Amino acid sequence: MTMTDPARSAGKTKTRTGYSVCTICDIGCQLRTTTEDGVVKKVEQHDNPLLAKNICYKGTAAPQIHNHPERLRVPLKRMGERGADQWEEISYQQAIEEIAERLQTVVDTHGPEAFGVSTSGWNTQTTHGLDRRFMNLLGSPNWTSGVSLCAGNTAAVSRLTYGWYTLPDFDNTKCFVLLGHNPRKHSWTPIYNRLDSARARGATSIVVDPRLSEQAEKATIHLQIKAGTDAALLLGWVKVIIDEKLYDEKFVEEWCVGFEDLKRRADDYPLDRVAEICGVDADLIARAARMYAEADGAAIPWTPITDMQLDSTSSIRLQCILRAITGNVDAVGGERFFGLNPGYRTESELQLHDEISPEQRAKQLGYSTHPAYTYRTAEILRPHMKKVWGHEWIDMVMGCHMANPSELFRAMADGDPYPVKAFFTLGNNSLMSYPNQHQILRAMLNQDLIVAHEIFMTPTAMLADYVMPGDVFSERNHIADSWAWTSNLTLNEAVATAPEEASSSFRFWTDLAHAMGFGDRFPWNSLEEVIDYRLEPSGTTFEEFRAEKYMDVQPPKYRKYRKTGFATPSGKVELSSSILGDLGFDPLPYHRPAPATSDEFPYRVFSGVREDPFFQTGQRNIGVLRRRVPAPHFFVHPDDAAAEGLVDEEWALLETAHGEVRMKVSIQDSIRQGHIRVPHGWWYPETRGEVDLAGAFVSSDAVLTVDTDDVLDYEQGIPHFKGYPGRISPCDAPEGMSSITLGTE
Amino acid sequence: MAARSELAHRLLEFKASLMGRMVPKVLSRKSDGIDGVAKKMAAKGLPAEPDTSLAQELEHPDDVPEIVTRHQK
Ligand code: SF4
Repeated sequence: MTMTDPARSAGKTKTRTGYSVCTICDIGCQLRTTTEDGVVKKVEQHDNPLLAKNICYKGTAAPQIHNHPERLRVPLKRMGERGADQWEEISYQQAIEEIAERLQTVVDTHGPEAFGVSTSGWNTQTTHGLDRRFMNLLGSPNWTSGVSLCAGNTAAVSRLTYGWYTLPDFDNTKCFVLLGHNPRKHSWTPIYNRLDSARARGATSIVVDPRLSEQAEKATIHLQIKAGTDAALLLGWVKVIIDEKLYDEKFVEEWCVGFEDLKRRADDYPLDRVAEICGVDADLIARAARMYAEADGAAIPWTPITDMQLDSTSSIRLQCILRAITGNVDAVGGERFFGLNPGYRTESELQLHDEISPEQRAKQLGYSTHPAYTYRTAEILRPHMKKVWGHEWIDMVMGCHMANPSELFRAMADGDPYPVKAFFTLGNNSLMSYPNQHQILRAMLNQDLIVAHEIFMTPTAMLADYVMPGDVFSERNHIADSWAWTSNLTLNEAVATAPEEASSSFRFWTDLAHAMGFGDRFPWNSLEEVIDYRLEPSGTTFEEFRAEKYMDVQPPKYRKYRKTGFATPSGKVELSSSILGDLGFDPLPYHRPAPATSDEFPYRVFSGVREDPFFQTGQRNIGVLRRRVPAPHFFVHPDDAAAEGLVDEEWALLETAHGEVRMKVSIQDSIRQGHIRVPHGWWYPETRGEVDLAGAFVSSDAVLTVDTDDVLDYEQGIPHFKGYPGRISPCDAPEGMSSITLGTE
Repeated sequence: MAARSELAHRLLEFKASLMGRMVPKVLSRKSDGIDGVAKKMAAKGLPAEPDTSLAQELEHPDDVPEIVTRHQK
């Protein structure tokens, strides 16, 4: 393996410092990691002053994470009942051989579609599309990921409208709109920094959030809407912008289709109706719409909020539509289409989507029911992507040809519409990462084979047959490409030594392919060989790239559509979507009301919210991070707390029609009355062996939500996390909680 | 945005592309020649004093015990 040139210190200790792409969250800051004798000692800011602020305290906790005493170091094989958490240590080779044999049995018995994978690319990073390659060669279309309800689905839905996925031109924007998104100094730090810089340059900002969030406090206009009403608000904006002729008439005329239809749809959303739905003053809504439309370059950065609503497709499309009619698409100060980096082969090229037959692709779960991000839509877009971007199967943010996770877990649990009997989960605590946690548990208990690839034991891994120890960013060479969201390439250097029996996701898939008899289709012997292959079009190798630079940034090009058109069936921005129409859905955006509150469940609950010290379900076992937020908290308005007899820092029980969780209460003026905010992904690693599945069912927001058809977004099949009915009452602390959680340490 | 003329588009695009061409120079490992000039120009836009409050927030105390399983089967 290639190692970074050592910068030796005095004495015998070998010190190395290299550039890293931090994978503790999904924004991928480039940092510097220093090791001594192969052990991570320090992670610090970039030495380039332009990048030095892009770091948070999770990143500097990497030594505690990478060197944690309970990091998985040896493959484990289940002993006893599934979920009993009893293990035998085995060799990597034995594990691969047994997994291959058992997977082959499932494929022979039930067909290749009986094999499902759920992964988080942020955590595994070095897969290089080999997971999809493996599945495509085997014949299974049932790959899914957390990106199905976070960013990947935005990418797929954006492509329906204008054939690509945008990123704001932060350096030049004059106005930005945050739909519930709340980048902070220690959460999504690079975006936080760029928003701050834009404000310092005089940019205005509009924040739409039921909570007076950190970003809302700094906003020029704060629209404190009821949770889950974003689509109605944006339809109101479209109406104001069209009625007041604030749109870019030339761009609309030359580059958009469906404007008249959109106008008619917007007429269904007069401001008084929108104000009523959203619970915000009509004048303020109009003022915000004007501020956005009149800015000479305005951006709507990606938000997870609209990715998780029952009208998610409409909400995402409305953001695209607003960008388009205001002339902000691929324009300076608006939103950029980065395009692909011409020097780096895309992951989709390695994924070999032509190797899986159309018949097998059509078996992808979700293909016929909720097709927006499945193969079905990707197949329609193929010729248009080829024409404009040069590749048929571009996989933006990994999200453009996925199985629907709810349907995957249903197939695993009930064999509906066919059985899925082998499930691999990589860097993805799947049990707690999707809605309807009870169904996911049933699904996992009904498997013939489960393999987890992780750096720590998780509740999901506890349910596995084999647990394979993964590697971490300090231990591998890599060039990260942000999965086509941008065209930047970022260097990551191996400076630490991975545990001997740990594997990168590259090694795992490659060895498994060899064990199953198609290793010849995995011709690379090392990660560096894969990277060299991907870099071939640039005429450089990994070593040459590393010697020259730590980041490759392509000069910006704007309004490229004038030469190529847009990668849609019409070649234009589809305000009315021909693809959605052809698939049998409403081609125009609409608002769909969330399930109503009632006397029994009077509060609007919004979940899926991140806290600074943690990314998704991770890091609750990292002392320096957990002690910053030792226990999960519901955010409750003071009047609601008084009405329900809730006490700050005491425990409460939150119930929905589908499940219940316990957390502490945090009484906050900042939250809109009648709303309860629930953080995402809580479990209690220290209780392993004492509390069932280490407390995975005590506080996890995934217990509260279901994925029955009535609460799913029609087009994508996305569940509703932003404003569902619930009730709250005081309760005792859950059994078995540690002194850290209880605050008695 | 509706009011941006073609000329304004082009001027802004020219300026943004010019700045964009400097970025690879700023992010290279070289510090001489054009790369060095680009780095110096970029540094001019930054505050003279580094933000020390961030450095403090990024630090973790040494004496925090790791969270481990209390009881393993
Ligand atoms: S924001 Fe923090 S955790 Fe996320 S990539 Fe950057 S340093 Fe790492």
